[in-house]
Amino acid sequence: MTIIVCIKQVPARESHLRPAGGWVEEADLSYEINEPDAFALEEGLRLKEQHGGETVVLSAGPARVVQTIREALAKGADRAIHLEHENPRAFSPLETARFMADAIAGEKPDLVLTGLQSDDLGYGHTGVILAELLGLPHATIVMQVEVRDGALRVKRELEGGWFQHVEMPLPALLTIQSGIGALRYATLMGIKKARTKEIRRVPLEAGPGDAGFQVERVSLPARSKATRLFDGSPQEAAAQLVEKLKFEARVL
Amino acid sequence: MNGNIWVVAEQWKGQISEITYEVMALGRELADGLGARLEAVLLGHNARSLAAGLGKADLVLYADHESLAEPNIEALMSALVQLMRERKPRAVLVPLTNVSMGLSTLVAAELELPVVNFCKDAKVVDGAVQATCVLYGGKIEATVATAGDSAILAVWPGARQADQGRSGASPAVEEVALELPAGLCIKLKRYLEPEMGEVDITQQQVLVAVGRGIQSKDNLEMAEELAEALGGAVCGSRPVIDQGWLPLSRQVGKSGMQVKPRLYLALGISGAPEHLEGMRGSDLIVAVNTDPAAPIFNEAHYGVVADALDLMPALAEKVKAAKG
Repeated sequence: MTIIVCIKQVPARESHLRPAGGWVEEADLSYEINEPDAFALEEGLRLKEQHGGETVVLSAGPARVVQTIREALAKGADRAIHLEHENPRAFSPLETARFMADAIAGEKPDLVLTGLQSDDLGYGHTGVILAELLGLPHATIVMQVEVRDGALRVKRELEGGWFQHVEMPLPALLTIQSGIGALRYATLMGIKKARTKEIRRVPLEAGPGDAGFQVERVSLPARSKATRLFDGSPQEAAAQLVEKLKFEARVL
Repeated sequence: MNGNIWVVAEQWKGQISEITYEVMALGRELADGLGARLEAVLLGHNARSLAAGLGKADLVLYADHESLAEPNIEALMSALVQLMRERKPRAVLVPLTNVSMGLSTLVAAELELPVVNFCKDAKVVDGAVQATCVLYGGKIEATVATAGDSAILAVWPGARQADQGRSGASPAVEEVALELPAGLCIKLKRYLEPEMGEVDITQQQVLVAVGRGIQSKDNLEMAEELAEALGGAVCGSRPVIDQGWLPLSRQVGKSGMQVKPRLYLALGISGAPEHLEGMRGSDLIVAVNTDPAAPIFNEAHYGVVADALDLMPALAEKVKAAKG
């Protein structure tokens, strides 16, 4: 099987984000792989081990993205495609998906995997639009993948603890949910090998980047409640909290 | 701009999803603000009777087709695109759920319309719809103005109270005919019921919820001890379940359980939108997190900026002392 895994580099989870210049201050952020994409990569590597073939990672973004691509190669991806442009905000999800579709089409993939949404913008758009552009059937929020006789049976996550079995022919695209399998670590050997693996660079021409709406204001979320914060040592804070639990919430 | 406000009613397993009523409430406000009509779009098979619950709308557009029996995105997209092409609504509100994930995206891409995802609020400003959406896992909000004649808003749970979107009135129903592809490529086979654990967290009065901040499975013991002292149970956010530290039956949030205990103690949970959805209705919410900017503090009544690992034993001790 030829398996393409689309990964995105996003601000690290611990990032302190603050609004600036009509968007988010990006100067002092560190970056990491988008968490659901790490699970998509894991599933892509697992399926390759099971069925043979090749796992190719695809990532769009500025030069810093190469770090995340190398990490994926170190974990076992065979090669990579880097859609490069210095301004990641220059593209709408539709434009990004179009570039990805162009880059993938020649690879004739059996399966395309993405994370279900990104931890930064969280649109969840790019994967499903990519499926549509490639003319592939898709399923979202996938927690289990079985390949049988050229077809797929997947377990989709719904809500309230419900799941759903969905079947479709290959080739197909799946958006993967976090937790589909235990993530592997890169081995020393893997890290060494990654240095010589191919990364095909595809420079992108910026599109209009127009998602059809104007961002008027970016802010930190408003507090929905008048949250009272307790200060002091853990002991002091715990003592104040217990007072509230006893006399206000009456749970003690 | 002309056209009406639409709400796509989500139905599966023979029922209208609760979030549909929340979105109806928001849709009603927008329609009234614009002097437009509110129309609910119900797509199903032998499901016309479900329209009865959608009386908040001025009209229910009902399309019946066997491909629409359960929410198959391929069929729903095709149906909605046809209806929107014919009738040109000004704004289409779609519930943001796992069940319908991808629908708003694909319809917007097909019709080249803007789509606002994770929309938590919307209002009419100067005759146009202005929406507020959530980014970066709830850490940032953006207010956006939609340009053009039409837009799609994917509305997250909790934008309005469901009760505001219910009505005893029976709505006018217009049946619409659709041409849908005969065979669907994607086959929905069956639903798998939730696995019941030994503890039903939806029935607990006190929940001690742990997140990524507890760092390792070994530290669960501290949470167990605290829960025992408080007479409650331990539950967790998604990363804790993904790591296998707690079973799926203990997960709070969008894909897990919706809980409304008297006390919800969130320890080392940042408060992603998907988690908030599952616990926002709790009577008293206490959050403990090392990051003062964590979104969980926006939902909490009381908060402590501290490491949950330090606070848990201190709190367990004080609780035991208070109970004597």
